[in-house]
Amino acid sequence: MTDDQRYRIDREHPIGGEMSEVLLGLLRRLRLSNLLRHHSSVPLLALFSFVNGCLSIALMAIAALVSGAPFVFPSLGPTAFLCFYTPTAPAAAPRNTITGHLIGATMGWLCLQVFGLATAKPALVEGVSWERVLASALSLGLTGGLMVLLRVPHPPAGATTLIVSLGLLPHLWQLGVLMLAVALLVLQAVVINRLAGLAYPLWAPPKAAEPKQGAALGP
Amino acid sequence: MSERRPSVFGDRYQPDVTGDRPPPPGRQALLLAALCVGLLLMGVQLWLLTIALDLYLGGAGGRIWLLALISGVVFVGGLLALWLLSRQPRRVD
Repeated sequence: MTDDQRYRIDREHPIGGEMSEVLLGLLRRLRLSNLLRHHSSVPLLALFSFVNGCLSIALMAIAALVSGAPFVFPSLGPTAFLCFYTPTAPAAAPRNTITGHLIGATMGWLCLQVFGLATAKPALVEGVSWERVLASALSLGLTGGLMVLLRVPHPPAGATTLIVSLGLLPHLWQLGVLMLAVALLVLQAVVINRLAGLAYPLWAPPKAAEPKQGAALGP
Repeated sequence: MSERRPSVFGDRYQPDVTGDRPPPPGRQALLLAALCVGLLLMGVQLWLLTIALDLYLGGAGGRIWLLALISGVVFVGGLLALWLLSRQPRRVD
């Protein structure tokens, strides 16, 4: 699927993206013929999005409840949505998702150490200091720069780095749990998208065929 | 001083993370079992509602009532399980 097709809004894709294709594949698999005829209706897509979002985060929240570890954190939400809205987009590929969050978490933690905020209370509790301003700005800058440099852009990772650099998850062990939660979500995306018959990559996004020289430039 | 975490099960069922007081014997296992049963019931309800929507869209409105009845029974069963869990264990002196 080309980017033009992926982001087009038409009768089959009333909200753009590929969510209607995910739903179509799942309904075909479950042999629900009446729902299949309405796979591209907006209310049904909204219902699917609601159920899928609830299930994705509920599983993580239950893991957090049982283990007492931070299996659920804010940037997991946009990652979950991305993985089911545009699953074949490069930003939703497992490589981008896992590496992006890893970069975000690491840069956030490094900035906390560099600016002496490792043992400070979260910014939401004690307010924003100059050290916090520098840590949050630098962590987001480094995350964005490194994701581009390594060619693994994943927008929700920007939220991850701020969660860490604002002191909400300051401990190294918490970052391990955070990465485990990301890996679990990716596993869920692989299972659901592949069950729906979509070519969701197992690691890196597939490379598009190189256009012929001069073809894209036009006259 | 560490703080106790809030719990969806209410304060009574929260394991004592401060270590001052051990949880009642078997409480943790009971909660895990309840969680598994709850997830199972939720899965059954989700499936029932999906089938009901499929039938409704197909024009078979009459058969939805049976599904709604089963779904209601599952829901009441879940509530009953929650009520049973919320009862304080009897103190043995």
